[in-house]
Amino acid sequence: MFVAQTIASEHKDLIHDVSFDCHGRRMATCSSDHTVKVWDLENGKWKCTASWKTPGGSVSRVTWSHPEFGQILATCSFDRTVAVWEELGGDLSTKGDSSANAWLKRISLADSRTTVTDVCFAPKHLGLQLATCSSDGIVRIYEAVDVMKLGNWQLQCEFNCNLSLSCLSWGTSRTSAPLIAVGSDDANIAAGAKVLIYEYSETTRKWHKVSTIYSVKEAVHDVKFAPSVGRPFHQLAIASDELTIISLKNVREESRQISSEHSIFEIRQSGRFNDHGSKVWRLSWNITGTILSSSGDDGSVRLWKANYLDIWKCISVLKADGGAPEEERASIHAPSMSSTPGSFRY
Amino acid sequence: MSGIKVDVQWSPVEDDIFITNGTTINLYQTKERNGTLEIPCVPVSESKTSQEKSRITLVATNSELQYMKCVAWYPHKEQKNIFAIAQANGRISIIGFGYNHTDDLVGKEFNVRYNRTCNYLAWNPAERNLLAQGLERSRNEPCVLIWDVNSNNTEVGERSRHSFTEGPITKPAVELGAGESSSSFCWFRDSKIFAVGMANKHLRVYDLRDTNKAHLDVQHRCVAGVCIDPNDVYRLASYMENQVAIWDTRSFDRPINIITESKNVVKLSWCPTKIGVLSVLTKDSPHVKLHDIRHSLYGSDEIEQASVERNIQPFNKSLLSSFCWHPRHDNRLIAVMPNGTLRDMTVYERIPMEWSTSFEITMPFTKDLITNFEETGQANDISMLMRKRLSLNYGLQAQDIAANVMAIKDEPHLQGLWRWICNIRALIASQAASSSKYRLPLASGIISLLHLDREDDILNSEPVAVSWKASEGAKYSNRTHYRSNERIMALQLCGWVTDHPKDNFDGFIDSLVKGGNPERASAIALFHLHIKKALEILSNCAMSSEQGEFFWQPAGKPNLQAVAMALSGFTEEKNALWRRTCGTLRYQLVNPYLRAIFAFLACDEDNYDDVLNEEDMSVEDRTAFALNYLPDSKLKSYLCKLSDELTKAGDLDGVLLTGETSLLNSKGIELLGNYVDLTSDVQTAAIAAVFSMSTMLLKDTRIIEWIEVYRDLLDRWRYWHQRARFDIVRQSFIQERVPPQVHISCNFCGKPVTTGVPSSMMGRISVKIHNVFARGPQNRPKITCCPSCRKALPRCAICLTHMGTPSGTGLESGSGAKLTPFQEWFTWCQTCRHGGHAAHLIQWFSEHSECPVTGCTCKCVVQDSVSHPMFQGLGKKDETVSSKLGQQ
Repeated sequence: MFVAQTIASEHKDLIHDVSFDCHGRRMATCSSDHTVKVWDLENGKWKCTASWKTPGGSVSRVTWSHPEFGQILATCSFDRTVAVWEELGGDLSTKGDSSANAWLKRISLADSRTTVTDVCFAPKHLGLQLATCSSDGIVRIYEAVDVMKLGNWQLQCEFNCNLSLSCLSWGTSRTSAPLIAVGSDDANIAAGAKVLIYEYSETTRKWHKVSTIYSVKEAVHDVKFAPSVGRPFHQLAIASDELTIISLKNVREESRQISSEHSIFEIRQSGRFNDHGSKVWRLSWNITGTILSSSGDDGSVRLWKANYLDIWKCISVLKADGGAPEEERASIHAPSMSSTPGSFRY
Repeated sequence: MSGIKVDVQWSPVEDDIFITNGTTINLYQTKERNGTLEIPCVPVSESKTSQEKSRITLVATNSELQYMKCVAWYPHKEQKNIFAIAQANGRISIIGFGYNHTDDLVGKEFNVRYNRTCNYLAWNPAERNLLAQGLERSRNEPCVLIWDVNSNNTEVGERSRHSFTEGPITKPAVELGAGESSSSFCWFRDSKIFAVGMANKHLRVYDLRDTNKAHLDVQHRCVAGVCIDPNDVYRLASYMENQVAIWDTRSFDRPINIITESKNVVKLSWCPTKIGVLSVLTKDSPHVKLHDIRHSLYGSDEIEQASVERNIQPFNKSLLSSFCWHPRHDNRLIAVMPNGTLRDMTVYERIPMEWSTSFEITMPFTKDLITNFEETGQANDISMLMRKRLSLNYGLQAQDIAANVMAIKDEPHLQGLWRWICNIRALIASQAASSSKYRLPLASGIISLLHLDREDDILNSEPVAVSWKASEGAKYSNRTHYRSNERIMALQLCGWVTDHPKDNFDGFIDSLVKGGNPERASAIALFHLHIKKALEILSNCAMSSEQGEFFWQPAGKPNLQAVAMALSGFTEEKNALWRRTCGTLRYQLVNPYLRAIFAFLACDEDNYDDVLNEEDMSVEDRTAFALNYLPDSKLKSYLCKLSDELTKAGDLDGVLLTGETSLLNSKGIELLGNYVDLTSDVQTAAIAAVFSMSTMLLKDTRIIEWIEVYRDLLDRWRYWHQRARFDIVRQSFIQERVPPQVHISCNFCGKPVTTGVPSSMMGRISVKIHNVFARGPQNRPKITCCPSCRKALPRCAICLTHMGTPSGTGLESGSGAKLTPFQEWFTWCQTCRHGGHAAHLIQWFSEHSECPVTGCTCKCVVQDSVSHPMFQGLGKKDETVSSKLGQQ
């Protein structure tokens, strides 16, 4: 049974993103009211320990870096910039209760000519890297030249996907080459596939498109790689008009010694669901990549889990008002289900 | 557009009342918030039943007036449900629900000169006697009229010659825009200012106090549907055809943004509860489009389209007629279809959400409430399971295997793996004790033990005839067992004790009976041809469970008696009735071991397939049975087939066969890999790899990956102690030197001034110092200078002797105290980098809070307020921090 605990956010406008740090003890939220808030778990209660206003307008995404690099947040705003914030420990925090000042903007990355729609730190094993994507289709990878000096980020790579991008996600496996999946919110179905997979090649020092997910043609709002936890394949969840879960297996795994050749992925669709009955906005995997949560336009969050045959089904529906999902609406959309035979609904 | 357009609006004062107006005015009440049920507005008689159930009820209806054009709801808290209605000829009637024409307002009528189509009606929200009306062009008549509904100067208006209306002509309070037409109007909130769209090309802002001249005026084609953002008094929006213009009254000369829709706009409205959200309904469209217009950049040359937009489809693919935001409730919208079907819906925000590291998911449902869902019960997810196992010290005890097994006692699929770990250790230990030349490879499975993975058949088992140990008189022909040294070892790995005088076979069987598994005991006894013993076990068990003598036994096995009886009739005669009956009846038995017993007895001498294919029997027992009864070639094919099946299925019981080392074909790793793929249980995979004690294995990339992922998980859960213990367990199996973490290095030569074991990277000097330490503690040299460059070490800030000199504190405080290494310890403030002997500094800071060094104002004690600053940062094991002591 799920037990809900509510926290007064004190945000004055829509909260766009919420992000946990690596240990799940700190949380950051960002909002249309231009503020970023940092929350700490103290004695089982979330307490806002810092809140600051950003100059760039609505903050659309916030993400934590691995604590190995320090307490670092990256945010992106609708003013086309990405900001990197660092918490100052020690001296400043002891000066008094000016906790809001404890977070300092280290750099503002203003390379994008259009809105930056998503920002993501790379997995820890790739070092302190930051990927951003923007609505003009350009993905930029930045790297901190010196972890001690966060004011210095270098644009490592830049590639154009020729699609208006809305989201990106890093592959999580540490044994395979770095991967990035990007999704586009281009509403034009005729424009073709909306999810592309890029792989970094060590030899050419470039990102190459290695795969295209042709099964999703509607506007994509979120993509997320599952934590790999030692699995040799990648699992990718795609939020579009429907929720799609696919697994990508590198068929060239055996001959990995020839590193000049990029991976060839065998794509298998594990599930496709429209239980939300409408658009799916956001996705999140749990720590072992065994439970996926999706939020949709119906105001509910659904949890998904696979059984041992890799058949996914909805195991829980969470709603803000605690009400049951509308059966009536669910039945309206039932005939258009296009999922695997094993798809269940609750 | 099909049918008559139906519009909808919420009551300006009441939260649960709204009207629709098409040919009639219908007043509805919603019983519940979020009443998202739809009413098919087919004739009332038919829909009556559905209405009772629905959350929206029709309260009143008015169909008196013909050709209604506009309806405006009188915004008064006491005088509810009064409407101003304009008809096609321009006449305004004020009607009310629940008034009998006694009210002074209801029943009033206002007529215009020259019948003209009315475009809008709008009550002033603050001065409620003012009602604005917009009209089409007619000669030189004014197109914007503002009526004062309370004024009684109706009589003064003279009846126009050109009017065909019946009522008296009243004079409006304000008249504007002579000879023009007006298409849209909006009052600013609580003010006498209003915006009006005129003559298809002017957007003007007037002040009631001075209506001669427009306050603001701009020429633009977007003059329809002008509306003011209720959350921002400077912001306006208007449209024309497929263009929506957004205005700021502070810079009114051109729109701040223009949104181009694909189709003509029919309704435009700001969301009253969200800042800067504009909703647009286009013609023949199933969705209301929301634009978050704040994200467009002001004053930029390249104006981006409103970047955040989304569609709301209240009726899925059906076309909308109109919609209306609830004026006070967050995100509440009522939508209506051309046939009158209604939907009161809540527009949900995009909910961002994220999983915490534990089974906890957080999402802000609204702007001011973050909800944190936590699974408190038993979730059957591996992430929860791993943490539960960890709390029981799973995989953290290198020697005590049983403790690990206890942690997973509820998970039978892991037991086989741990039995194998346990058995292989016992086997290795016994091999070592027996001082035989043959060294058992670590972590091997039965396949490699029997060399079945090699091409050449070197397994030379000899058949042994074994006789039945039956009760006197019964004579059965002997059965053939196969024996070899490898087979005996393999049997031990299966956990079986052989029927050899040296071994305690009876004890083994008895322990199984006591362990609550008499069927298995009986079957194993029978497989060793102890039929008498098998019968005894069954009948004893049947009786004892009736008497309840053995409380640990699961109750209710009386049918064992019947089984025992059936067994006792065993005959070897082919085609005997007994055998045929057994062959068929055994499928009705639930227990696989009982089935195996009958299968064993009923089968022919050399065909044991029925027993071997009894899949519910554990892998160990099946394998052990095969080891006893199958000749070499059959054994090989059987075990290889079995191991292939188990590997494919990721069944951990198969580790018994594959082991974990066989690097040549790496079946064991493949099996573990399949297990991880299926269950994501990287914990067990990592622990199994570590407990195999094989150094070779720990160099496999997949194994390294699992171990690293598992350590990462532990770190993310902040199970640092468990991670450290896991590392200790791992380290205890690989004999490798652990490099030290922190060095103090000399300020001059940069070499470590270390009192610990130097790391291997220190090269030549390290060897030297290592030798020095080999001499023993009594000969340990005092290090008061750098061992490599002989420069003196910094002085203690208190006693001003070089560090490394005994601190002398112990001598002062009396005879009993001794010099301890701790007192000579160097220590220093992490901030100001001043320090000295630990004992001296403790004394100093017990009286002072500031640094003892002259001129240094560092409040070292304050820095210490964080609980244990010394060891906090040392998360990673291989981190080598080199700190330099400053010279004073």
